[in-house]
Amino acid sequence: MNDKLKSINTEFEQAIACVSSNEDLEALRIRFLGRKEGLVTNIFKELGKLDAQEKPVYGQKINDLKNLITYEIAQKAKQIEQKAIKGVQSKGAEVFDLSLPAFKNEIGAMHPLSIVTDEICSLFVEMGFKVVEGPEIETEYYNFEVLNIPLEHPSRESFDTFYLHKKSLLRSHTSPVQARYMEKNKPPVQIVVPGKVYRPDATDATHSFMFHQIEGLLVDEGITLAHLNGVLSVFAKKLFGPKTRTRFRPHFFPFTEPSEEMDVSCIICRGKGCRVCGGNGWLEILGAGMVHPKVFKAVNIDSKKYSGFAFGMGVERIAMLKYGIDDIRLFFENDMRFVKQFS
Amino acid sequence: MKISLSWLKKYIDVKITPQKLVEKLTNAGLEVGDIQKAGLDTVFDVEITSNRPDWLSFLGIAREVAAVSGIKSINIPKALPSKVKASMKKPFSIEIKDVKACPRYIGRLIRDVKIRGSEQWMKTAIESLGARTVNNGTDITNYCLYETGQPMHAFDFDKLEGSRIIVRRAEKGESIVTIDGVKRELNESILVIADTVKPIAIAGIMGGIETEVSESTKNILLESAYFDPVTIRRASRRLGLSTESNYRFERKVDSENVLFSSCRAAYLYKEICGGNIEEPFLDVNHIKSGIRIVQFKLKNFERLIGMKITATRGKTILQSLGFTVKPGKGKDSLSVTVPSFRDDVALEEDLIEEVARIEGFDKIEEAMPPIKAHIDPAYSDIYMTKSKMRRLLLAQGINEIVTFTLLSTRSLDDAMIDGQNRVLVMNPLSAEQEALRTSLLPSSLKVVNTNLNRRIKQVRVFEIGSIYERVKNKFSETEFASITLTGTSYQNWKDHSRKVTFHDLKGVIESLLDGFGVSEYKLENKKLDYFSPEQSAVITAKGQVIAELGKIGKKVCKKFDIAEDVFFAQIKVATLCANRKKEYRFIPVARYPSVVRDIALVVKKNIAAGLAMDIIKEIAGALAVKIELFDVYTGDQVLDDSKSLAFSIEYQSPEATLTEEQVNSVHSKVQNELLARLNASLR
Repeated sequence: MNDKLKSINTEFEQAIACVSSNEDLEALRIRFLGRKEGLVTNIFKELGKLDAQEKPVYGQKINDLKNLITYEIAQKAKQIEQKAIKGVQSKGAEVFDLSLPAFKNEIGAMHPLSIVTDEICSLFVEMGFKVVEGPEIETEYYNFEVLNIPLEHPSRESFDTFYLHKKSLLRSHTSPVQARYMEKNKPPVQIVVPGKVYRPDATDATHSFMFHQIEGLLVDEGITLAHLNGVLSVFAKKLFGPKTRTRFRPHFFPFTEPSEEMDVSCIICRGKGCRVCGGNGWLEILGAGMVHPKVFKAVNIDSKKYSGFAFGMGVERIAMLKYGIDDIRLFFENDMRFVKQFS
Repeated sequence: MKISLSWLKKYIDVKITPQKLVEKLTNAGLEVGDIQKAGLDTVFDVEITSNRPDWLSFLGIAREVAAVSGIKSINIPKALPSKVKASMKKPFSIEIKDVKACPRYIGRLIRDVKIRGSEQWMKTAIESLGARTVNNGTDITNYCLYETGQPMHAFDFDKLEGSRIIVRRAEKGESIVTIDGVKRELNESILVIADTVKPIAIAGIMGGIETEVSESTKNILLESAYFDPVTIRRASRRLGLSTESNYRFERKVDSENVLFSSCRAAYLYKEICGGNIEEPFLDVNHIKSGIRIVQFKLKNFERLIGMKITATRGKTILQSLGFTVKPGKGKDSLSVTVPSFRDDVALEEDLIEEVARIEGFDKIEEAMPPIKAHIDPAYSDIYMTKSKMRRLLLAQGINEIVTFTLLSTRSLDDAMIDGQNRVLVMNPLSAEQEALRTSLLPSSLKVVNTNLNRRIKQVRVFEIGSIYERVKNKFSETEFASITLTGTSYQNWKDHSRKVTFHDLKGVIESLLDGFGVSEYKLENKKLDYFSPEQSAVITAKGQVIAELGKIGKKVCKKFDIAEDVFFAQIKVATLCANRKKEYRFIPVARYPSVVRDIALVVKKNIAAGLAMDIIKEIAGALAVKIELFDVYTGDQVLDDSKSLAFSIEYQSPEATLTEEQVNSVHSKVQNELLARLNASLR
């Protein structure tokens, strides 16, 4: 009996040392003093088995243990209460800190050239155009001849080309896709063509031997230069904002007649004149024109029945204007601090 | 071309301000780049498109100014009469041996000239364009080049052997010292002007120093000719020599202006050098001057431009540009004769452009084309696949890059990319652009290197682009997406950061495949040169390789100066597109509860976890709705050659609640099969 009382006592001392909350303390009380299954309550039940002599002795001892436990539980309860009050007063470590940095799922950044290409293509898709792609490795026929750019003609000078083999080359513009598409698809034709193009230019802040273009083509009955200018002006307003003004200047391209270039009012100074627009308030954005009858003839479309327009622009130039990027080389260097700015 | 405003005023009475003039010219298609004040003069730099050689002269520009400012005519400068008196004796002769290369040659002898420095007015004029003056004998030809657009050449007649001009191809081995003092080797591709002994000029490009006009020159032979553009262009490229002269011949000179310019220069020689031009001139002309007449119909103008024009207005514009206009066949039609200086005008569309251009593109009222409904989708399947790949990779925290498709063969070798099928550029600018990429790896590693060098440690990038191959003379382009991971996985203040592993990359690709609904695919070991042998794999679907993935080998990393582990994958866009799930059908969501059972096996280290998962799948079949590997353990608790794999299997039936017996039965079957087939024990 003595051993049992001792072991209950030891067990209790160990258990109460670990208690730090009211809930745990209540569980401890039930475990030792619970009316049904409490360890001390149970030991009282064993008194009946003892001799009459031993009964009062152990009865006293059990009562002492019960009183001790009751006292210590009461003490512990006081301690817990005081600690709780102190805790509230001192605002300890358990306070929730909202300002800790978030656990973020990082999102990748799209390359600015993809963003601008996507944006331009979807602006034209909204106007009924379809996105078409074509090969980067081209033949002289599609890059030049079909587009009315004769061999050994000075007009080829603006289209200096990387050659791969005899008549195979890297396309110097996206216009070959016009001809390829018209060979296979009869009017109405309404496409935009994004893609890489190549020109052996020495690299500097505004030139790169590889860059991106977007080409457009619309062929149908009754298409006019007025339609071309209408579509391009809507495009410019969609891309650079509704207050953007446009200006069309006659120009020369071998594959369109008439040909023109489109300027937009400077997006930096709004046309007042600044460093970006060279002081004249206008920015040259793209080249365009009515499809040349010789191009129609080469792809077997009757230019007496159909007419159409084509346009082409450089993606890098537009991205540089849009974001204020001053060096084309940044696009291809892929410094993460650059790429992540535009997502 | 530079245009001096005070020089221009000799031919046309410009009444508007220089600013207004620039605006008008720009709106008519003559783009003015730079405007500079030079004393009392203003000099414009005009960008001239290759179709308008007539604009490479003051008379051409004056004609344009007249048209845009509504001035009827320009002042044609004084010239000698152009009639040849056939009876006169000829002190020299002209022989053209290559009529195709030189269809017209006019030679004129001017005797008793006094050569000295030019008068001030001519010096000022030539120097205002930034050109150099020499002496009055030479300056006159230069002055006329700018004035009329016709390049001419003056020879010292007394230095010519045999009083004979021969236009012929150079012979191999011949050479000439040109007026710039450079000795130039000639060959049959180059057209020369020769006397009976030697070449005296490179036709259309530059004269020889020996027959150059100097202060001692007494008699001048003046050449005015038409040279074939392609012949001159080739010779200029061949010699690496480009002058104001060949620039104009390449763009075609006006065949009639050849004569006028000769007469104009002769007039100036008479006035300035006191030359005696009583001698006759010789005109060897093989050009058949056909008159070109183009019809201009008002309805076609409207059809192409979307704006109306009156016959009177059309006529006025065309006349102001130098065209001769008569009533055409039928009403509202003009019959337009093209002047010889407008060789670029051949079709009605060309005339339409002329009229629209001068009328002003700003007068065209913008319109939208009629709407057509298209049945075709706006984007192709491949384009959609690429867009979706981009979205899914961005969502996984991977950044997009765009790199050059041209690179050095060395970088391909460094990346251990197979040397076969490479596409080389015949005329690269540098060794850095000599080949088209046959893999996205080298440029991806370059991006990793660039960023690591700039202390950007976490590089997670992808690129969607083509690779290019050549098999015999056939070229191909194939689109791929590359994924490159290096550095640490994303870290925060609570969880420890860890290095990126092969399984991070595998996860990115599997998530991508999930996004496309590709469920039937296999990952297999396949050794590829650039990957480390242990971590080199391909993913296949229906026998086609969708992706290759692995850890970049030490050797390759070293070549690209990268000390970190790099994981790289290349996914073929077309194969992914073909294997994507195209139709989604609803499957009812299971309504009955599931039961989860765990199983921990001890197997030899060489047993792949994937094999155990395949066995579970096979035995449990559709009842196992989820199989998860939640722990892989090696260490004290198991033998050195063994590892422990702990799986959690979720059983569920779509038809009914599974009973304890049903679960026990399938689970013990799974357990027994695992133990038997993998020679495993339970842990």
